[in-house]
Amino acid sequence: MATTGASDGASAAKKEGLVTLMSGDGEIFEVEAAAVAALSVTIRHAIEEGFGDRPIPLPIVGARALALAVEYCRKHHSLGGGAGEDSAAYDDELRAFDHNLAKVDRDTLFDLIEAANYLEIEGLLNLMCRTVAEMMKGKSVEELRRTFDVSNDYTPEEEEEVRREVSWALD
Amino acid sequence: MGDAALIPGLPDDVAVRCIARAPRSSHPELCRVSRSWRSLLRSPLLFSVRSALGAAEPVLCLNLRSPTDQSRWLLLHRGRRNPSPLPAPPLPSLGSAAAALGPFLFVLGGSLGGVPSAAVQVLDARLPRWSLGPRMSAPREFAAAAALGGRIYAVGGCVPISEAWAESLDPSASSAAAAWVVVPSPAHVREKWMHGSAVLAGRLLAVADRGGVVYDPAAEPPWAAVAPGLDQGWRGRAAAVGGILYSYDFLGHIKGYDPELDEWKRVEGVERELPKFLCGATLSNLGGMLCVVWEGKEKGDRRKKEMVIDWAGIEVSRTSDGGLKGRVLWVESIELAVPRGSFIAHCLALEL
Repeated sequence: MATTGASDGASAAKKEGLVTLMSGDGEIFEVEAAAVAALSVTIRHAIEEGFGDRPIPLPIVGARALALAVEYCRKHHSLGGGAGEDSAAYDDELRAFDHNLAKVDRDTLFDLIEAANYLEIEGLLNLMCRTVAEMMKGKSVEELRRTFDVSNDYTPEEEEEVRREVSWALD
Repeated sequence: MGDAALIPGLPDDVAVRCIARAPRSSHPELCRVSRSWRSLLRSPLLFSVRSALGAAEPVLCLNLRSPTDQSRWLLLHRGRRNPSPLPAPPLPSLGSAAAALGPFLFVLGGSLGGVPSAAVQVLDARLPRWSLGPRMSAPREFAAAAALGGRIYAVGGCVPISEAWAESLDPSASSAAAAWVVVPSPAHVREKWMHGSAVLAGRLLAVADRGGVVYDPAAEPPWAAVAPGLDQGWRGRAAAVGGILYSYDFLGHIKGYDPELDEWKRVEGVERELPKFLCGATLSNLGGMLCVVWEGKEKGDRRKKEMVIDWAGIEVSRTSDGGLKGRVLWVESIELAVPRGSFIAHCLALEL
């Protein structure tokens, strides 16, 4: 669940301990200030600068990515830190949560990376970069270009040269 | 060219973090994707980011010397039968000492044309390319060498009256400022020839005839004789992994030395997977795993001229009664384009 309450942002923001975020496409999210401020450097700074009772505009973050990022912050805020006797169980639950979060399609993955980068959520950014790196494993050159939408700017001669250059490293 | 994003849809600094996390085994394919991917994969930036993210991978660097004193440097990769050849160093030194720090290998001294040399040769394994580093204050042959606290140390292998019997280098200093600094040593520790060295618990250990020495930069005085228990069991090349010093003895056992107990214990549980005797065994710490490299038996065709080496990764844990239990994680065989009868002169783990 990404949003809490369906009322409009301005009035709900006055609720104790909540902060209002506005996605680039204008959707309003009310979230626990402590959770997002603990994980997102950008939102922590915005709150410190007195954005507390106004919606914090996040122009380049779409609603879907913001919802996922907020969910990440909540989960890691409530289970992270690992203190107490349940820490091992919490770790397992967090791992499972991260694992599931990483199972998004490529476009959502990129949106989420952009969101994590903008919001400065280091753990989420690392998780998503690892996911992208996983996608690079065991793919052919053509598959890599297709997956990451990279155009081949080598001339045929250069391509052959690079192929020879790296072939010593392969069996 | 060069203007396009590394990965369309991602800021370049984030794309660098993604590509930096890809395993090295995928780098050859990644190099072929585009010009900008290739130049990133070849850049020092990539290694810095890999290091910072904890994604750098250990690789084993071997130096083999043939019966006719031909020298060959190679990198070994898990899961691949063929090693990557490295270029030849600029100077053909014999009996040099070597130390590894990150992606850098330092080859110290050795004899050139029968004369001990103070030359320092540095391999940047990312490129891979050799360069000459700042010369040592003393010429050395069969010295002890190690990386400790970010510095490279060279100990012994020179005349004992030399004030520069031990010296160290800060390789992170800019090349203009990098210079060897003499590490003062009392004359009584100098009368020995070095057989091997290792770093254990922040201290540099050198095994030598007439008793090994230990250098602890934090202790006063910094030089001491090694504990008697350690001296007795240390044979040849040793490697420290997880606070234990490992060595291979004449009877064909891998032994571990626990500095807290001052005792060598045989690593149990590896007899089934490993041959009875590992010819020319050399040990190293490969990213926190004990790695053993030895000269393989020629299988089948006895006329084959190439040398085969075998290597194994071993995970060692302490048992409740203070023993050491080993688990062989993998054993692999590698054919080398070097003549049979060559031997392993150096074996060090680098990070790439």
